Amino acid sequence: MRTALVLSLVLFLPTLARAEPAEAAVDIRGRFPEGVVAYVEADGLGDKVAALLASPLGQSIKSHPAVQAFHKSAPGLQLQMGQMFLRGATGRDLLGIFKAVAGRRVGAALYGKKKVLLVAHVEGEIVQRLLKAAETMGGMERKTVVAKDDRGPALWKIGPAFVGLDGNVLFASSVQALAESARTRSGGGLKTDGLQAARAQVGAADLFGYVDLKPFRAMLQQGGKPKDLGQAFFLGAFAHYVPKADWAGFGLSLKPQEGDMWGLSARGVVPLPGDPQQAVVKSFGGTLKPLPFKLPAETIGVLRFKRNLAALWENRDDLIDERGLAGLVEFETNFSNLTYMSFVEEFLPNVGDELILLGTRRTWKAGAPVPAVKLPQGALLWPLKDGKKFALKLQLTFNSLIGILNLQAGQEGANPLLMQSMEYNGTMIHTSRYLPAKAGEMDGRKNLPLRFNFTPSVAIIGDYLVLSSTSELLKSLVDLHGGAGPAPDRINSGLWLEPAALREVLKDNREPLIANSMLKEGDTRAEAEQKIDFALDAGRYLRSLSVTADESRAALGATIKAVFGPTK
Amino acid sequence: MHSELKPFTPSRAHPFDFGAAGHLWQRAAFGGSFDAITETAARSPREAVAALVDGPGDDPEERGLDSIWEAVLGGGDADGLRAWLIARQARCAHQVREKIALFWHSHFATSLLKVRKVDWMARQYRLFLRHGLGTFETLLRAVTRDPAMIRWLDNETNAKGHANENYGRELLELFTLGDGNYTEKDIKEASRAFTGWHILNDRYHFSKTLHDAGVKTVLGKTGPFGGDDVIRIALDQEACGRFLATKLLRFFVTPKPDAEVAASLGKEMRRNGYHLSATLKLLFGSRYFFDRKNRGGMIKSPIEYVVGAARAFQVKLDGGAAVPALRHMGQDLLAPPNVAGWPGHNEWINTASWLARVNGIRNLVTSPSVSLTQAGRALLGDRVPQTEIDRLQKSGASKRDLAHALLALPEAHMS
Repeated sequence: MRTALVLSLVLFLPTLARAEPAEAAVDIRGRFPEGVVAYVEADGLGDKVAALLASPLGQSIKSHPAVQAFHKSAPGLQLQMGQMFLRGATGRDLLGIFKAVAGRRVGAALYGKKKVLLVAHVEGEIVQRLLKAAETMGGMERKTVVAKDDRGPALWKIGPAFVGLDGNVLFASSVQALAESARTRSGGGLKTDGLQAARAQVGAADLFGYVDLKPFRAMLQQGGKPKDLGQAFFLGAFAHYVPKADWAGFGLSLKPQEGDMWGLSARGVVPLPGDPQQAVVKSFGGTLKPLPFKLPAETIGVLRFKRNLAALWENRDDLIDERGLAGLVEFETNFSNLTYMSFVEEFLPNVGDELILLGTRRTWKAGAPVPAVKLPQGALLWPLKDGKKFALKLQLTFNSLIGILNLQAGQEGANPLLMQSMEYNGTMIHTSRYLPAKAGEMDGRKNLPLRFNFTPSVAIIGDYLVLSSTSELLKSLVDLHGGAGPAPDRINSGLWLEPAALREVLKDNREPLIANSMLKEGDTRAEAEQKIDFALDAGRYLRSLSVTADESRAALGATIKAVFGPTK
Repeated sequence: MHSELKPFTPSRAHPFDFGAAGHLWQRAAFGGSFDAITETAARSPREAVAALVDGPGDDPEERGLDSIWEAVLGGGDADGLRAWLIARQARCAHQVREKIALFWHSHFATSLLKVRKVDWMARQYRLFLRHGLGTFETLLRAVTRDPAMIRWLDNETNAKGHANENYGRELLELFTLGDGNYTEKDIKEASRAFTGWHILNDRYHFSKTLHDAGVKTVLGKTGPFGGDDVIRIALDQEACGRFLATKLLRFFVTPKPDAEVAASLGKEMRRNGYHLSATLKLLFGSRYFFDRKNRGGMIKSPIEYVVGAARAFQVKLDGGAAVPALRHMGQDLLAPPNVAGWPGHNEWINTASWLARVNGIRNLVTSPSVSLTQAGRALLGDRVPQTEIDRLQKSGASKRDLAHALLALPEAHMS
């Protein structure tokens, strides 16, 4: 993995090629015949990659010690020899060759099993030089299968591929008929409705992709409906529309951003049917509101879902698998027994339509014993229509849960939790904690066992039911309630990650990560340290990451956005 | 001393060659690499056995694995601890210590399924590593005070006037004397000596008020015995030496040891104060150990099979994958099937476990770093003709497929 990363970095990090003269756009789409099953198209990647490499981010990667070390290694020296050879053959460095061959518009279409056609707008002269170099120095064989005629250029057989070069258009296929079609432009282009719709929904992208899902429908529907309430809740509308969709589209964009940053955005879409089922819309539809909490310090990530649990429950017959439905009866009974309220009549009508999960790095008192594995702390927040109404029942439920856990602990000789309720800044909070470790438990160890990561706590903060893995996080949420948190833009569900805080959590757990690498990968300690430290260091380039889901009238979309920046 | 226990003297007919050195590595350890076996074969049998039993002075692999001990324990994950133990077996240079620890784990068979505390099981296994090559008396005293053992055999409920006989029974039947060498009365009386041997704050705790300090008669001796007295009385029995010697012979040499050889080895054990290191040097250096009839005839346990394959092919063993694979093969570390430990030998192979072995090993030996010839010689010695290995080599299959084909041979499951 690491070698692959270094290789890919080095491949695109040579000195920049001189700027090439602009050329009018060449139509490659018209060379494709109809009937594509999948299609991928990249446009203008050459300039993007060149700009990235010239940016402070590219320079920072280039000067990274791992990249420098690779240059001095045997594979690095071999690569430099290869570059010298290519420069001699073409007069271009690697980036220059990349720009000449794949830096403009390139399309690849799949027509069936092992039926691929690739068409690229290239610099024909550079391609010719590369082919000649491969023939003379690399022993490549090029056999003419169709001679040049007035319908198109010659068609060659190179290895398993049928290849042709028509001026500045290169085409290659695993099937002669497809290559012929590209050669003679007899295919009719990419006019499939789904492909056009996908392109419109994805919007402008450096890399666009389309898949006709109809041939895969049986496979997609094999999974059936979500198996239980949890699966239905988290997968939301995707579980219902993806198996029914005719096509899927995706796009990938790379853009410079403020402050020497670069943003990478990937978006996937599937069409929504003309008349979406009301059950699905009622249960999973809508957009998130601004978060009514300021985010705590060192927040690692926030996961939010816009879901209407009451509607989901009401429409469960349509939305959940039959086997899952049977389990819901038991769930409903257990819920009522544990919480002293009816799930359907009291709980559902009073819960809001959003679920929030929050994770933060936990800081420990200096000098005090800490767990060997330092877990982040997490909280679940659920809006209530009337928080006060739930206060007593929440306390009873917490008491019951801790009681059950303690009973189980007693039976197994495990450690019980000590409960405590208190008022904190005007909010009644219920917390629990483990007693200090027994003397014998600490024999031969300096660090605390895993359980000391947890002080399970609950409270109703404002109109939010909050369950937290630690009392510290619960208290900070009490303090931060009422502040304005991030406001997502027309998002239905999302995960927002703060890589810097996540990296600190991983750094806190360097030793367990090393242990894991030694035991799972069979590494020596030195090898494991090198791997983990490299990954932690590489993580410095990632500045933010989000995964969001959205819906419009016509499509259901998911977007991944990552922002990268140079390191100092 | 029985003539079969006299030192093995190489001759033209019975040389100390690569095959004999390989046999030593297979049985005394978890198998060796081609280079290690070659180096061993260049020594005298006495030197080779001493080097293996005494182990090297410093081992960077062991230091590395010891350095993550807290992280492994801190995760509280039983499979993490299992992976750590397997990594030790596969990588630590002092192989005999790892092998004898596995022997004691089956001898004092304690299961996590009842103890339910990973750190207690970890501490017990560390006792086997620390005292496994020392004297049996030291080990037995430590195990008797071990919280995992106390919980496993219910000694927490063994109190004056309400003796729980589980520990007393297993001490005599499974740990020291063996069936037929004690009476029910001995068990009852021995159990009284262990009353009040409890756990407090996760440590052994002697409760004077719950201990029965009265006079007991155990194995013909009478007195106000405590637990350590009963241990000493048991170790004084001739049967104890014979019983332990038989178990050692069954584990290291043959499923059906000669009774006279076992009796003689037992006598030697008692003579040397049950010192395991000295006993193993005597055993591994004996004619009996190197006798051709005792070579290649034992079915490997799943751990011996998997770890031995990893060592022969010099692959990095993925502990995360090895733990469930071993479970499917029938050996779940830290969870022996009952108080008697793993029965071993023919019990290791049945229709299900055979398939689990042959399928499971494919995912564990994925990237051999030595040639098939070297790995084959390390693993099989002279039990499979070189021509067979050459024939496999010439098949043109991938390194992984070749390794799998070799490890699927019946001989690869034997040692």
